[in-house]
Amino acid sequence: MRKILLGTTAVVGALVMASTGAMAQGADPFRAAGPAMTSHRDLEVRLGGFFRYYYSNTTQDYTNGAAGNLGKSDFQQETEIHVVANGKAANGLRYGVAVEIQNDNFRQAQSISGSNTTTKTQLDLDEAWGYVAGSFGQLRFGDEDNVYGLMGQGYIANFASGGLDGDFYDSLYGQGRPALNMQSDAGDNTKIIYMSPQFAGFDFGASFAFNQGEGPEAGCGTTGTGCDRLASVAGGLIRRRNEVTAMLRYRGSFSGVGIGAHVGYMGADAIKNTTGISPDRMNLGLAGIQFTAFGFLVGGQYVFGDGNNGFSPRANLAGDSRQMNSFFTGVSYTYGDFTVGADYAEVRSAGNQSAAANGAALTGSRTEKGFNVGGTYRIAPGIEYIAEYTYIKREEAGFNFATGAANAAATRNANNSLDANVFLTGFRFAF
Amino acid sequence: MLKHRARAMQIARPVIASSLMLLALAACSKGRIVENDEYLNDSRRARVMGRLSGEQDGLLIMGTDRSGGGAGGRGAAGGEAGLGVNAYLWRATLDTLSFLPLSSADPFGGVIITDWYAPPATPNERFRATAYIMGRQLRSDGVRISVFRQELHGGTWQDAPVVQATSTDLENQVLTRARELRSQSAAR
Repeated sequence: MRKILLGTTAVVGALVMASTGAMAQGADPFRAAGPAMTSHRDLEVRLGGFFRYYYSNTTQDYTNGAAGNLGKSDFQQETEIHVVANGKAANGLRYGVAVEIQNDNFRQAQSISGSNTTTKTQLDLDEAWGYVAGSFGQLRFGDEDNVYGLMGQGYIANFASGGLDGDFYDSLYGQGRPALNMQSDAGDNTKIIYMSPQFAGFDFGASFAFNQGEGPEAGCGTTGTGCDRLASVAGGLIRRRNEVTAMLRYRGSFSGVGIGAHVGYMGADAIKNTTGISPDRMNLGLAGIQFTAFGFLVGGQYVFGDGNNGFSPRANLAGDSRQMNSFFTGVSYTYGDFTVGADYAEVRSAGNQSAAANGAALTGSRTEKGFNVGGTYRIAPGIEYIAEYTYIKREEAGFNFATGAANAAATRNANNSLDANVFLTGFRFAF
Repeated sequence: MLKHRARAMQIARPVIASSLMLLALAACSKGRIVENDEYLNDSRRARVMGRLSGEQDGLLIMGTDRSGGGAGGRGAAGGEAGLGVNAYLWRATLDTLSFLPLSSADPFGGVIITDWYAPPATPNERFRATAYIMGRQLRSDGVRISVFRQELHGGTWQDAPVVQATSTDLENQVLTRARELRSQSAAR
């Protein structure tokens, strides 16, 4: 009897083992063919969403004229749908994909005159990326921020709609939108990213992108400035190529005070000029620090070097070596379900860099300032009420913020300054 | 152009040098894996605290739940997958009582019971402790520890009184350790 029991147990065991082996080879219809390490048994796919509804009250200089006059009030909504897949292979390799679908395709309806045939509620993709991670660190690839955007410290955006990186931009248009060099402003151009494990509080990362293009297409039907892979063109073009970013980050805590800091570098070539002098290469230094304690978050960031505002290369004008200096500081305080905070940013750059035919500069340096104060009340997990006020000021001698171009020498001082005020209040939801 | 290349090297050199040092360190020792939620997510959804879907970060539409308590769970209340009580208090209690041999630990009910332990310096007395973690919130009254003491008389262990401050001291140590763990987690 004992022998029979042992025998049947062995047969059943062999069948189970054979079955498992067969599934690992792809016999399971729910599993892709391939070696066992590509098992999808541990895959998790999630659907997440975001919706916001705000009242906005906006004043912006130069919005009234022959083309029309704007009122101040508006209601706005924005929606995001996120599809996120994460998994872990049998050999410990982690992998995943994130796709963010949104409806803030404002470009389709930004004109204030004429009728729009397309709608600004049209869906587009924000970020879309995949990753593999393990003890070696993480390799991430796709339409995603560079490592400065991912690892930067001193970025205070945890109150209201996000401080100076918040939703007030959606109420401004044209020249009303400042370039305050927030750490995510460099864009989601398609890139490859490596980020290391953490050692004694330190981790580092580097990212590379060939150009500023996103998505799958070449960006153009015929060779021209619309092409992602544009390397040179008559007259040159202020657009980044061969973008490299490197970051070193530290995070730790001392006696209950959390400290985060980073130093980094962002550099890029510009599209060359086939008929003259090419724009300068962009070389920027990055630094930031933040402290957290007793509900407070205080931080600041500094970006400096050869470049123009908005993480752009600088035109190579004779005698023009003005550097870009970008300062940001913010503070927030969280108590229970309330968070209040304030941000201030100032960017000094070469600006428009227009020159007359004889080489004389038509425009001066640009100064852009932003101030935001606001708060969040968490009504319930996933439901928040926010209110905030934002003030924007842009100045540049010789530049006309009404037309978006340099003034002629005779009217140099016309519309050299732009002020904007945005008040937002409303609800946002996430699931 | 050469001037700008030199400028690039001037700015990037410290970052590259530090990164190469860390890379060398990576080759020699094993660092901590950095989780995805330790990188900035600049989507609007990521800026909302908590989820309408409760502990879950989004709706599971396929596969195995690997959320570990969801975005709202980690850090918000200190909860983790498989724990019915505050994770910081749970870990801090385990750390604090680690000098005693563990008899049983129930992470759902929040009960930790140790076995008897006789310190080598005083082999004629022995201790055991029972810890109760009261809930999911990190509160000063969230942990209760009872200490039991016995003395060896004539070859048999007999119950003996415990100094009242012993339990309070242990509770305070647990709270201090929990606060450290929370600070470390917040700083990450």
